[in-house]
Amino acid sequence: MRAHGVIALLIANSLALASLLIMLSSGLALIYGLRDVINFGHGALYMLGAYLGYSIALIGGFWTALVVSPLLLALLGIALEYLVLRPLRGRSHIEVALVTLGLGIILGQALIFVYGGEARGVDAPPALAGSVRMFGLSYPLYRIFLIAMGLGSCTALALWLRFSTSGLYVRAVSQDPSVARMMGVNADRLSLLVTSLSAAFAGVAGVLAGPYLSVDPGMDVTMIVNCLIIVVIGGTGSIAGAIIAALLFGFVQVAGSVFLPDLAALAPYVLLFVVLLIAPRGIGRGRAPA
Amino acid sequence: MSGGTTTRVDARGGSLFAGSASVRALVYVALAALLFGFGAIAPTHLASEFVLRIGAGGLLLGMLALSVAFLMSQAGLVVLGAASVYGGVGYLFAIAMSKWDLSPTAALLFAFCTVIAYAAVLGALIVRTNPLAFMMLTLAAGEMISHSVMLEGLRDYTSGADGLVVTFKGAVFGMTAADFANATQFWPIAWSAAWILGFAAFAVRRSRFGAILRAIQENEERMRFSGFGTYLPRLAAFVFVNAIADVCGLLHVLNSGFVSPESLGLSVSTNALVAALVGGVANSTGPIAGGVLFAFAQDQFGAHGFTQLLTGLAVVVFIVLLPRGVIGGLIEGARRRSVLSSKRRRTA
Amino acid sequence: MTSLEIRSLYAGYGASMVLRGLDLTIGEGESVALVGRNGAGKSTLLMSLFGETRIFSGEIRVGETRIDDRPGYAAAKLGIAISPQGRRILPNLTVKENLLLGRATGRSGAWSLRAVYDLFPVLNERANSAGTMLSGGQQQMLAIGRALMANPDLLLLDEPSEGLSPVLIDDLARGLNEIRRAGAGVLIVEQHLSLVKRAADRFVILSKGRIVGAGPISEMDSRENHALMAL
Repeated sequence: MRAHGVIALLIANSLALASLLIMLSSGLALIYGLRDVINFGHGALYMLGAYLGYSIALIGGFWTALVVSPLLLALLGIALEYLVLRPLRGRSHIEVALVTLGLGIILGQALIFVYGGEARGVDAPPALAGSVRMFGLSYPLYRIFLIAMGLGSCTALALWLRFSTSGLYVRAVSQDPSVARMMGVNADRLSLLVTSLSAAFAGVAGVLAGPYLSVDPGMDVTMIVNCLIIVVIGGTGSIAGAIIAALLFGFVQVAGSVFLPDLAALAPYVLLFVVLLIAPRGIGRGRAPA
Repeated sequence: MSGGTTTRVDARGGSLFAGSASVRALVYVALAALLFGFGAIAPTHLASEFVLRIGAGGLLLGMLALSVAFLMSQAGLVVLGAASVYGGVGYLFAIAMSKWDLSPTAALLFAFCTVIAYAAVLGALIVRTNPLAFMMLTLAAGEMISHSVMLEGLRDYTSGADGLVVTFKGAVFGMTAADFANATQFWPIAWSAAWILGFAAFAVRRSRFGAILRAIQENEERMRFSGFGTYLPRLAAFVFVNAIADVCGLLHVLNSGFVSPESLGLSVSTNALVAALVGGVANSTGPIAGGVLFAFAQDQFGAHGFTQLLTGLAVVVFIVLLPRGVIGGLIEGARRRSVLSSKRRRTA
Repeated sequence: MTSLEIRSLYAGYGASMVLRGLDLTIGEGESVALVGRNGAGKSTLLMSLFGETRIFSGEIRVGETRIDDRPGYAAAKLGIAISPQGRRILPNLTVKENLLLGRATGRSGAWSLRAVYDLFPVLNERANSAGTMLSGGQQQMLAIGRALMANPDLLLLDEPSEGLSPVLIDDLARGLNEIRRAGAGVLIVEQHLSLVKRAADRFVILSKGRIVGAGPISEMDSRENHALMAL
């Protein structure tokens, strides 16, 4: 019974963490697949979503925050597309990535300036504040909700990519940008859609993270590093790869903190090394080799 | 024209001399030697200790920036863990003396060689991957080193978060610990090291090896089809830039007499990257000048706690407006002016 | 009204120039063959229409609209569709999805999924297989079908007979005739001269980056022209 419980707990906690990571990493992977650009400011967007969620929740409650924060972030994503990604289209990928890094740092600093340097706690909404009995243990309802959200966004993403026209075009551009262009796919319009969706999801993840982790000044750096590791392990342009990588990452992180707490912080890095040594192009079957 | 002699006008602009490229080269060398000598001596007499300290720190950061810039411009690879070598070699130096009772010189050599070996092994593993994976792996390696320095189990060696005070008795290369710590005496050392490392980078850039690296960056597949190995050149380049970081890291620990987890943290790595971008990554002068600029700017802004903001702003401004950096921009400006003036001379 | 007009085009890759002052005009509904040695610049010409090359100078117009300064998808939206060299079928999409990609231009016309299936029934049979699981000949049909889905005014074909058996080349020729009958123009780059003779009305010879000869397809077999093609 004990062992059952520990394993169930491990899996549940891994899934909860992975849910957040999937929401964030898939957004990052989509932009990367589409434009070959890594948005280093993605962690800062997540942090903005969290702090905005905190403020909005103070006025209107958790559920309002969950709706409004992503909307605001979607607008910011549109701004990112028009003011940064499009004008810099001709530049090398390293340069654009570094610009997003700089902007991310500035955004992070602005948030620290406005909100101060301490962590903020966010309460789960009353409807999700309780616990549920599972495998003889008491498990927070909020985390079940988190897992459901993660699963839901995963499914929504998969359905969109698989069955919608824009999803088809996104997949095509991710696999072979030249051919997609020659067929008449308007990568700019797709990019606008993908960037704003990616930002919105970062907003959702930020709001959800509040009651689960916390809202603190270092969260942007931690998260962007995690997401980058996941996207790299997942392989270029592969959303499926990113999702599997996120699950793997979540498990390794949680298991690490349980069994080897001193070395837990290193677990993601070790994972990165191990995976890339076995499969240098990542897990997923992404871009066709040039 | 005066009777009988024909004057060949050098139409490639700016030159005061008719003909001979070797004469021009000689003039450049002479100017460089003057500049070197002046820069080594004059500041120690003219500038305050405070300025010399910041300046020397800037030169060290600049040398670290040079290692980042070289790999970025020649091989298209970004290193995010440069500080782990820069600070790590300091830790090795300290531990070799305190725990293994090596003499200062032996400890220096030990630390230097261990880092080279580390770079060779790490490079062998990661140089094969795509640029993004490479960058993340250098970050991972750097972060792993940062964390291990803080591990409880290694506290005996590293003193964890407290850091290690690094002094030695006797002399290394004829200088005592006190000499190295003295700002006036250290400046010429840092200045000379910057010139030597900068020249080494320049020589490699101009060599056939440098050309091969750049060709691999442009079209890796074509190089492979043409029979060039793409693995070994990149590995060699990686070890080379780590050697640069190795040297300036040792100078850093000799000068500061102290090493802590901050010395090898991510912020030092990012500072080096920013310094490289500010100065310009295409040549040797750029990153070193960028390091000095960054050090002084940080001193100004750091007082108000705005260092990070400065970093972010610098990255955005320089990439968008001045992609070649300050030095690169100046060179480009000079070139354009000389082309214009030679055009004017031709039409006159 | 001309379909495609190229004026004095200098284009290439990176620092190297491949096309050196190329002029070409293709009228509406015309079928033209582009012949010449490997490396003469034939594929470069086609790629230039889609912004895949570096254009040093010159103009490309589709109808009245200039496209050399527009993003790569402009040509497709104006009615130019391509079956690229090597087919370039997307590996992680099904046959049907590859075809649907051709609808990205939003152009309407006679060519629908149904019409393409009628022309190439095997594509219907393998509609849900991965695109790259088809044989060479089937992939070529898929590449052409994908281009047709855009309802182009001008269909570009880059080495369509590559890797195909004579029987399949025969099928290909007949398919092309049907496409031409339906009203589209064709620009075909091809080494296989008998296919060229069946698919085109006139030919142009490309050598070292510019047009060195041209004429109606009946004259293609003259000795001078064969000499020019070998240059």
